[in-house]
Amino acid sequence: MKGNVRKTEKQPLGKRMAAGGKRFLKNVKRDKALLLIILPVVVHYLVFVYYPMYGNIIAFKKYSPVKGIMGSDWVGFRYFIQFFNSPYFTRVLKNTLLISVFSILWGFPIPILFALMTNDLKHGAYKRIVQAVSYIPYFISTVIICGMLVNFLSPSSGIINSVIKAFGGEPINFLMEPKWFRTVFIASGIWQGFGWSAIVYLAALTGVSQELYEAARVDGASKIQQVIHVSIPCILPTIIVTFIMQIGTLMSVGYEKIILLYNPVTLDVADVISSYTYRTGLVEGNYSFGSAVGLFNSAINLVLVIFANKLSRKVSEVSLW
Amino acid sequence: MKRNSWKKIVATASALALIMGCLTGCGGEEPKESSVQPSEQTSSQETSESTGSDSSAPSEEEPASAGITFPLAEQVELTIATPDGNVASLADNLPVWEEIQKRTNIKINWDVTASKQYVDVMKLRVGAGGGKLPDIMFLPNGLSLAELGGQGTILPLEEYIANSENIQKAYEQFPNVKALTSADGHIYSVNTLNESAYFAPYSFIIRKDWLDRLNLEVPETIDDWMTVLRAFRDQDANGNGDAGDEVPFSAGGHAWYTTYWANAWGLHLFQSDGWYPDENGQMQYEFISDEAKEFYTWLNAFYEEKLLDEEFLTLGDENKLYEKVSRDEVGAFTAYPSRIATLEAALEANGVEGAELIPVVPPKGPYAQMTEVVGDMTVNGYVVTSSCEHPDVAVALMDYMMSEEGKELMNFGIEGDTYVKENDGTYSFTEKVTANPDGLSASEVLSSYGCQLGLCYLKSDKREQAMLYSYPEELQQKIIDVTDATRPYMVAGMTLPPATEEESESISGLSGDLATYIWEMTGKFTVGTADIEAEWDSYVEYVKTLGVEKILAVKQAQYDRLTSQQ
Repeated sequence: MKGNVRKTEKQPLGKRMAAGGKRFLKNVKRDKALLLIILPVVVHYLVFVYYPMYGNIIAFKKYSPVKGIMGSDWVGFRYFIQFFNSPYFTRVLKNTLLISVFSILWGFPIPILFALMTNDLKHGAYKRIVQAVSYIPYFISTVIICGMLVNFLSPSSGIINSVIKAFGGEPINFLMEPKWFRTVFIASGIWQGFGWSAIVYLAALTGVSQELYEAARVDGASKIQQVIHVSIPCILPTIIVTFIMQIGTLMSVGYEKIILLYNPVTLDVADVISSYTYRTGLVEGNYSFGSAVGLFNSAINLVLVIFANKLSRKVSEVSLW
Repeated sequence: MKRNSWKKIVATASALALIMGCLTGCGGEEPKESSVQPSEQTSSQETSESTGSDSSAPSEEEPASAGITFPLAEQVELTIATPDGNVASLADNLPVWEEIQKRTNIKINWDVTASKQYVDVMKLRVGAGGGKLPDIMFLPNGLSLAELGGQGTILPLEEYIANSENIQKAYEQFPNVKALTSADGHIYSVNTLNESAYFAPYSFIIRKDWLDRLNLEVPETIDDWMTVLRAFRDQDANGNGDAGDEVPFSAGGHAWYTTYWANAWGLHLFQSDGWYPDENGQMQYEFISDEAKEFYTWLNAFYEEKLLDEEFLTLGDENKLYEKVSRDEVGAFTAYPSRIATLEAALEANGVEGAELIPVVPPKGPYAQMTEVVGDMTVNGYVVTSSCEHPDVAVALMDYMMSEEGKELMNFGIEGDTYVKENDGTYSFTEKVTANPDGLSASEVLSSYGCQLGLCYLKSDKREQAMLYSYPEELQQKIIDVTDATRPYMVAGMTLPPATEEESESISGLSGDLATYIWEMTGKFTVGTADIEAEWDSYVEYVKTLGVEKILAVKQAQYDRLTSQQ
């Protein structure tokens, strides 16, 4: 092997490339089935992920639909500065982070708990039904979820307030009270997503060897102890990877649900970066501004993921890369 | 019950679209100027030069469309890009357009896009440049006339228009057309004009049967309204034995709707977004005026007294409001009177007997009795591109659309087939339209003929009257009477000419932040989470830091350009 390398080093560049090319062709020929299988994925990424990225340059340009992306004039960081100087910058940043952090705080453990609980269901049909019921809400569109929320939370005819009234309480106008906004937003988000998010943990749990449980039982471990000392350590890598991915979405709270649920009175706590960008960028046709904010978000998210990944590698030796 | 709740869900499903529409409405009613335009104003001179080299240049010696008479001696082909009809496609040779082509001897090649995608698709096509553009196109929102004109992509039309008899005649009725002239002095588009904007405009609608049940008169002043609405609140107006289920006044999901009341304070908040000149011709931002403070104080009391629906900000959209109305829960609201028939039918379907809704003449308030009317001209119009070899014919066709003949075709369809013209000059639709065997609504039938599609036209108020056919005669008369009684109080909303590049550049990004703040505070003042007395001064101050003075300067310049035209 070593001699081989030296030999190629001595050869002129053209020949070396020819040799490399030959080897490359040989490899292609050998692995053509595998390459064919991966081809659609590569094409997908090139066409739908990498190619559109070049559009990001309009964040540094004064984009004019007439002049097109390449033809528009460069303006440097103007739109970033406009965003940082906006009177709403601190408010939307704060709201975005608060909603994200609380979403993770409450929303992250629930699918894990749910997965651990359903995993121990022994009755097959019952388990499947519980699972199906739990992830059905994930398939309902956001618009409809929000319509249901408005109906259920209505102070005059909503189910929730009917219950409150039945117990002699005063009806609460949930969607008009700033202090309720985050609760409604996050709780409905958890309800919609926990069953779906639990799937990945359930898959990880099925991979846990039954021998480990048997050994634990022989040692006299209770059900709870089995969960704590067998199940959780076994799915810990999955949990950490999912967590790192979640950290990477810290700056992105989707605008759809926000704009469907907020109103002027709750704007103080409800307006987030994406809804603000939606109003100034899309509704007013200021595409460059919208891209600038999007790029800023992505940059922060990337930094957060890298940081979380490093930290996790140091602490737990589990990491994304 | 089950069906009902599904209907509810389906109705809410349209929330996104409506909220978007709503936000756009709040962003500003003015023609949207994209903030990106070519750098130099001087480009207007280059335009005439660059188009001068084109075969399509407006020839100075010969007055444009004056020499053109239809049908043309020799057939001319024109390509028109326009949003397609939702009922039938223009590409399928719809009868009205067949007729227009026959009468003018112009062969039209339709370049249609589904109406929802039109703006995006067309913006891309124009943006991509190169290639041949259609001869005539509907200007997609977001492209600027001044920029396209400056680049020579679209042609200045004022010379042709000056010689177009029917367009000129139509323009006399519509003072707002002055806003079509760009700052460079050119007119680039011909827009659809709407006579019916002044027929049955947006107004208060009240439950007449509730008034009768409680022995009340139709309210004429703001104080009358308060009395009536209090009675609705307290006296079981819907007569179901539960005095607690009535909502005296409701609104459809945005603080904007409540500003319709501000008309009575002489404020132009509802349609003109608060930008309105005072009697000295100085543009004002009425949201921070003293009258606005009084209005908000009243509005807050209105909410506190539970006269205003406590769900007015969360209903989501107008459809949710209409649902509430049809559940026999709402006493009064604002809408176009053309809604009444549908709502009464829905009420009846829900088992409410004798429900009667009537439009109400705008109430007399502390400072005014008025209602702002807009929509007599579309924001965007049809432009002629530099690809067009016969711009004179193109404008002549637009002129034809504005003629009596074109007006009849576009509003009523084919004589003898879809409508009959009475001796007294009124029109009535045939049974094919009014009781369509395929179950289509009247406007769907007309749309399938090609009416009100394809090109600019003059929307006739006679059509609106003819459309009332399905209403009981009594209601028809009532709507006509109320329109007549309202007419003296109608005030035209502000339509300003397009901003120049420098102007829109100087205020770029400001109006969005301002709108956010204004609607937030309107909501908070109304609900009382912000105290008007204590916070008014800081509110005014903050509006100023958001750059209202800069925007005012631009609006003033636009307004001056408007008034300087004779």
